[in-house]
Amino acid sequence: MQDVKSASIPRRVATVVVVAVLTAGWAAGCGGGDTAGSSTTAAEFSGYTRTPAPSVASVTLPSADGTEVGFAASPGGVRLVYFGYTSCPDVCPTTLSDVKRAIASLPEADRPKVSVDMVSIDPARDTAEKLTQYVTTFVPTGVAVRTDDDARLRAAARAFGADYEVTPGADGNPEVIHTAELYAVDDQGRVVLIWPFGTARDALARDLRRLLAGERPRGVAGPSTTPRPTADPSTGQPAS
Amino acid sequence: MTTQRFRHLAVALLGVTVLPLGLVACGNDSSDGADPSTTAGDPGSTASAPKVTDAWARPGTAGGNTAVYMTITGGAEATKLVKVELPSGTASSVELHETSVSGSGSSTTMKMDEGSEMGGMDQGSGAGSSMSGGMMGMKAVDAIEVPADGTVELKPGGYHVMVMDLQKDLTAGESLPVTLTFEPGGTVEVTATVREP
Ligand SMILES: [Cu+2]
Repeated sequence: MQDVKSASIPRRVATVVVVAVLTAGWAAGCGGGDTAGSSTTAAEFSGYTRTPAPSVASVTLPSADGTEVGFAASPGGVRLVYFGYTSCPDVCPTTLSDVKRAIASLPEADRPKVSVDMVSIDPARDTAEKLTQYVTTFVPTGVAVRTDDDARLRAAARAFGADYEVTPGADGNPEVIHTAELYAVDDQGRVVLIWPFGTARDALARDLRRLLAGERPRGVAGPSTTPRPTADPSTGQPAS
Repeated sequence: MTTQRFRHLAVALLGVTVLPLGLVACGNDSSDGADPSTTAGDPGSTASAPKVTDAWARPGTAGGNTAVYMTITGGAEATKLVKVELPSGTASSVELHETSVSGSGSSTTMKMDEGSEMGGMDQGSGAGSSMSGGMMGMKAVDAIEVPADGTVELKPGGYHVMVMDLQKDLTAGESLPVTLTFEPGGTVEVTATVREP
């Protein structure tokens, strides 16, 4: 009899712990997709950064109207750069929609501080006109960037940490794969934050507000740093 | 700081539970389509035909591509979505597609301390991955499996109805009739709303 009673209490405790663990795991680990809520602590950026932050200050590419585009943001601003293609019906428009909404969620005075570039990784199909039409559908001030010089495009992508491959498909339509990340560049031309595909929309907007406020992730020199746990030594990634 | 400590605790707990969670709650592979919000037991739906809800289409312009998304809830028996048709004059072709991470070396573990809110799509593009890892692409699939009494979500970054070479603009607010063919199960007609996500 006593055994039964004493055993039932730990079991109840165990249940509570399991529920707590599940809840914590849910909050921290899930919430994927662009419809997910925002549940991480405010201290962290949702995007990640490479260390040291890649510099794209010397990278230029032609815009659709023929002028050379550099990628540093305006003073105090943030430049969002995306490598994509207009035939992409799923991943690219999801990210650009999120960008549109993130910008719209900013105080009006802050919106002009954010600029958006879409760099085509499929210039054979993305004419200047098509690309411009595509990006400005989402962001009226968005800049269409394209070059037919694959060596230039590849070098530029590499500077950001982006990659892509366009191969002839069986049905005649090219198969395209690409790094579906969004890059935030600061006014010094540094890629200060990177958002993988699947970042929650609210999280993107929140990160953007913080970047505009001058906050920077740990490992990126800036007016403010956010303490974070050091990197997992097993991955071999430097901590800062 | 207490939030920081909570975070450490959460990370520590996650370390212990990430494996079962990844399978049960997170749906690491979007092809499972298991969204926690819609899989939480729906004993009411035992009809034999699959049920299609929340159908929507992304706006698009003539000459371009777009996609249609929806949630499919299986009936008493497992079935497969094998074909999707749109009214003639809408697009040159319509296919079932799946978007996935297709780069090599995409098994890099996402570090939770990077503070991400991302779901399952990020293994390859997370902080520890190489530059070439984690590229995303889409490919045609013959069918989308719908388990008995299970739910499959067609959503950005996963399964989608690929609509190629639109013959006309699709503008937000429009309705788009969609005919789905299941095997077994026959056809199901739904109306997708054209809207931004
Ligand atoms: Cu597709």
